[in-house]
Parts: sequence; C-alpha cells; structure tokens
Amino acid sequence: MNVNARFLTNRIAQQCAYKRIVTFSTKPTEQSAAAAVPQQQQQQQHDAVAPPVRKPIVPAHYRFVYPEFLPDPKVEWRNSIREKLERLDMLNRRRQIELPEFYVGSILAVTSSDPHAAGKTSRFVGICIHRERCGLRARFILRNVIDHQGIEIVYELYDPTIQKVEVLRLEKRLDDSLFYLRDALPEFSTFDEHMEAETLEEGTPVPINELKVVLRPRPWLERWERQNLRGVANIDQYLKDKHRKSSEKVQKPWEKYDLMKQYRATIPEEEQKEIFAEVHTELHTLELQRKRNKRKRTFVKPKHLA
Amino acid sequence: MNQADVSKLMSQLRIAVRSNKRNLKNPDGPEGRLLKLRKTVTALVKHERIELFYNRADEARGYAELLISNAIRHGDRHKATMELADYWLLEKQLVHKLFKVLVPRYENYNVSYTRMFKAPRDYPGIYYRKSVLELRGNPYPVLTQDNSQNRNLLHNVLLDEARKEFRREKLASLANKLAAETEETPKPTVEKATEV
Amino acid sequence: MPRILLLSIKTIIGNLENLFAMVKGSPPALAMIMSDRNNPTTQTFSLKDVIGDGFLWAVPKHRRSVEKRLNRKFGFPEYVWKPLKEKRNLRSCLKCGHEHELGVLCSFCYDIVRKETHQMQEKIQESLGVAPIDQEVVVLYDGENDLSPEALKGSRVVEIQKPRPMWFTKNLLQKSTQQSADTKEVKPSDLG
Repeated sequence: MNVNARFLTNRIAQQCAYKRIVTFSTKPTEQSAAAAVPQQQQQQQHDAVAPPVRKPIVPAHYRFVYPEFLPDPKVEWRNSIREKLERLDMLNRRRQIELPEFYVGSILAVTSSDPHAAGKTSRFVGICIHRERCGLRARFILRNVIDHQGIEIVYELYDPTIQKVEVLRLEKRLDDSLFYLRDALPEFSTFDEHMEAETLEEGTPVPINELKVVLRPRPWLERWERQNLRGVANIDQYLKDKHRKSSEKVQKPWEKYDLMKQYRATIPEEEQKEIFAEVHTELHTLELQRKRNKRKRTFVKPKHLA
Repeated sequence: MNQADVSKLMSQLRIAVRSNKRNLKNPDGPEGRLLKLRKTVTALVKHERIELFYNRADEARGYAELLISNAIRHGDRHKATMELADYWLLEKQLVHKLFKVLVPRYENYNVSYTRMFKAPRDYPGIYYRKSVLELRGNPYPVLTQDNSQNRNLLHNVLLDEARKEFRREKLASLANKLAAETEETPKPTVEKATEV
Repeated sequence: MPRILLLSIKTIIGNLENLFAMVKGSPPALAMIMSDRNNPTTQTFSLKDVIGDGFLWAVPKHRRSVEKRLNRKFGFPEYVWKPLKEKRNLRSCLKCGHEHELGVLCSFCYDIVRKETHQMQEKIQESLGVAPIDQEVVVLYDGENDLSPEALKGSRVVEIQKPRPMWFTKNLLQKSTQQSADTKEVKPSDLG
C-alpha cells in the first residue's frame, strides 16, 4: 500500500512536470487511495495505457471566498517568492485555526487572547464592515454598538492571538464596504452578544441581505452622496441641490470602459488559477475536515445538555 | 497591500504592460484620454495597421488587446462586452468585424493579437518617437525582415560551401569518367577539375 | 517741470562736489584724484572724473584654470557632454544596406512597405464602404484569379489592378512572379 502510494505520487509528479498549472482532484485521502489501488494495478497490467487526464477543478468562487490569497496587483510590490512563502504561512495558520468563509455584511464572533480581560480572552460580536489587504496582512473590521457606544475592532485574519472565528450569520450586503453604518442609526449596527449561529444549508449560495439602512442627519463622516451607495434608504432627504451638483461633478462614468485600469486592479485569470491550484488541495481538505468535525459536534451536542 | 479586485475576471495579456498609465496630453482629463484612445483603437481595428506616436500607440495597444480578449472570452451575447465594443469602436460596422472576423481569427492564438514596431523618423525631425501598430494576421506585407536568405548567415555560408563542394565532386567524377572513356592520362584533367 | 528737476539735480551734484572738495584726508584710492583736485586752476569738477572708465566695477579676482575653462566649454563626459555624440546603435539593413537604428525599422524598406500598405488600405476601404464587416479580406493582384474557391471561401476578395510586387510574396519559399528555378535541392544527407 505504502509503496503503491509512493509510486502513484511519483507518477502524478511526472504527469504534471511539464505543466505549469498543477491541479489535483481532492477527494478525502483514504478514498482516493482506495480508488487509486485498482487503477494502479490496471496501469501495471497495461503499461501502454495513457494516464488519465486530470482537469483543473479549482472552483470559480474561490476568489471570493479566499480573496487574501491573491496578491496585491501593484506591480512594484509583487515578489513571487514572498507571495509563495506567505501562502505557505497562511496555510500553516489555517491548519491551526478554523478561518471560515465570510463576507462584508456577515456577522462574526471573534475570540482573541487579551491579557487584560478576565480569563485572558475576549469575545467580540459584530458585523464585518470592511475587508482589506492581502496575504498575511489581511484584516477586517467588526462593528457593534455596546452600551449605546459604537465600537469597531480591526482584526488581522492571521493574527496568532486570535483563538476562534465564528460566523454567526453568513450573508452579504448590497455594498462592498459598510462604512456608512457609522453614520446610520445605531440599531442598524447593534447585534446581540449572545447571538446563536445560524446555519446555512450546504450548496446554497450566500444570501444577499437587501436591508437598507437609515442615515442620521448631517454632519457625516464622509460624503456618502458621492459614493453611489445601494444600501442606504434615506440619503435623498438630507441632500440639497448643491450636494447633488457636486456629487455629479465627481462621478466617473467612463471608468467602466477603462479596461486597462481594471486590468491593473485585478489579478489575471491565468495567474489566479496558478495560485489557487497551489493551495486548493490543502484548503479543500481543511474544508472537508471542518465539515466532518461540525457533524460530530452537532451529534455530540445533545449529550452535553443531558 | 491592497486586495485585488475580484469582481472582474480578465485574461492575461500577452504583451508587456507598464505598471501605470502614461499621461497623454489632453485638456479634458481622464475622460478625454479615453476619448482620444478610442479613436486610435477604432482606426487600428479598421485599418489593421496604423502609424502613430509611440506613447499613444503603446497605450491604445492594451485597450485593443483587452477588447479582443474580452470579445473572445464572452462572445457577442454578453451585454457588458457589447457595451464595451460599442464604446470603443466609433464606427459601428467595426463591431461586426470584432465579433465576426477578429474573434475567429484570434481564438486559437498563443501570442498577442497586436504587434508594435518602432518606426523610423527623419533625422533630426520631431522629438516624439513613432511606431507602427498592427493587428496580427493582416493582409499587408510583413514589416519584419526575412533574413533567411542573407548570404552572411552561418547556415547559408555552410550551404553555399556544401553546394560548391558538391559541384566540385561532380565535376571531378565527370572528368574521371571522360578520362576513363578516352583512356588518356587522367592526372591533368583531375587537377583541372579540382581547381574549378 | 523737467527743467526744475534738472536744476535740482545740478544743485545736488554741485553740493556733492563741494563735499568732496571739503574732505581733507581723502581715501588712498582717491588720493590720485584728490591730488589733481588740489590744483586750484581747474574749476570744472565732475563726477565723471571720479568714476573714470569704471574702475569700481567687479572684476575676476582669480584666474580660471585651463581645466575649468575646458570643462565649461565642452562639459564633462560623464555628466554633460556638449559637443556632438557619435551614435553607436546604427546598423546597416541586411536587406537593402541602408543604415537604421537598432530596434527600429529600416527607413528604406519600411517606406516601400508603407506605400504598398496605403494602396491596399485605400482599395479595401473603397470596397468595404459602410456595410457591416463580417468577412476576412483577401487581396488579389493582377493575374491571381487562379486561386481555388475553397481558399477564398468566407472571405471578401479585393482586387488590385497591378502585378504583385516582387518583394511581396505570400509564399515565403517561392517568388510568385518569378519562374521557379530547376535546380535540385541539395540534401545535407547526400553530402557525406
């Protein structure tokens, strides 16, 4: 068995040696090994039979789930070796701790070690209003209102002091960042600290919450009228003609035709494939493990209560 | 360390892309720049080979490449791509050309869709460099030199020598044959033949 | 008004001259002049005599060395070189022998191609007009109608009423307007 497996990996390496993009199907290791054994025997019997062609099967939604694996598109800051090392470090961290899929608008609970807190840990529940940066520096901002006081905490995703990240409600909002919650009425960013995690059925797309928040009157932190926000209900009520005029002036309707600008802001598809092919196997096995653990946990739960 | 924009997916360009855009002289700002480049892209698709200043050609090249690659990727049923084509091609019969002529032409290309050469300019002439921008697979005479016939190239030198050698041998054998037939002293003829 | 002004200036100058005359211990630079001044016979004293031919103007205090002068004249080769510089990136075209810059098309060859291209473009645009373009264009010269219909299938034929130029051939191995030579090809394997 062991010899067989080694032989198999060698063969796979040979098959993929001349291809830049290396992708494997990532079934659970035991199953794949079990499936591979008869195949192996077959191959030994018929040496001339060509090896089965493996298609790249990196899911298309990976770039939304793991955006921090894509490097900064700014050419001056690219460094392929650094990026690769960072990716390895990120995977190492992900092996230690479960970093679930979440988006701007999802409600998270982050438990992090805090030397000043009682019990040395603090748990903060809030809505993710922004995700930024890439690689090991990836971070997100959680916002909540506690005791009538808006609180925002910036967490680095790969920070070793983070002990647990739970997604309490997995959903998206209408906008890419929700900074306007700072100027909205407090009930729109108030979330219960003891909120229970809501489970989504497997395979369902991430729901988009079409909630429109109500802004409080000026003064605001930013000129929201200039940002074409979709998730704001009552912005018109605070606008005068001069605001409308000035916001019209700063609009850039031609930018959707500026192909090179978009190109310079994105990582091209071929490169994305290469990157995700590199980390896909690992990420997928981690996902599967997590699912298995979850099932176990849900099964165990009633025992605890009893 | 900003996150890459994941909302759009573009295919990799096969040309060298500058890290940031060039500023082209125009009074209308960034919008005017696009309006200006639009004319160049239209002319490129229309004529397939144009001569213009280097900077403008280099800027327009990326847009033309992306326009074609988007057309190949999404086809003519994709609304956003159609909108792009409508914006970038001022003459609307060229929209047909993009989808019906250029897409089939470039579908299986492994290299860039456009080609750029530095064009000569009169000395001392104007300061700006000139260039020729063309679509690959155009019907015009090629701009690159076909150097395979150059006599000074090594393989041509060798072939020439081989040819000479072959002729010499043939002459020698002919002379030998003649000598054998006439049964005269073969030595002088052989020497003559080798001298040829 | 100007007359008054002139008069006032004159009086001021006169006062100044009196002042100078009053000074007893004159500075050494003026000693010569003052000794002249001592002459009571010359009554007409003027400032022009004092200033002379500009003996108070600035003058170079030190000699500029030869090296400095040469550097000023020609510049320094590593920083600024003022005389003409030779171009080292010129090569002669392998095809026609004209000089051209490295990496730049040969101007002579390019001129020929450009003229032909312009002619073709004109012809093509004439034939295309404003109808939607949905076919590849094939350009045929005089006496090239012997192409098979399969080769022209799905393409628009544009004809140019002149023979195909010698240098512009579709088939790179054979000249289309020249008779193919009868020489046999020499295979390298036959040489040994």
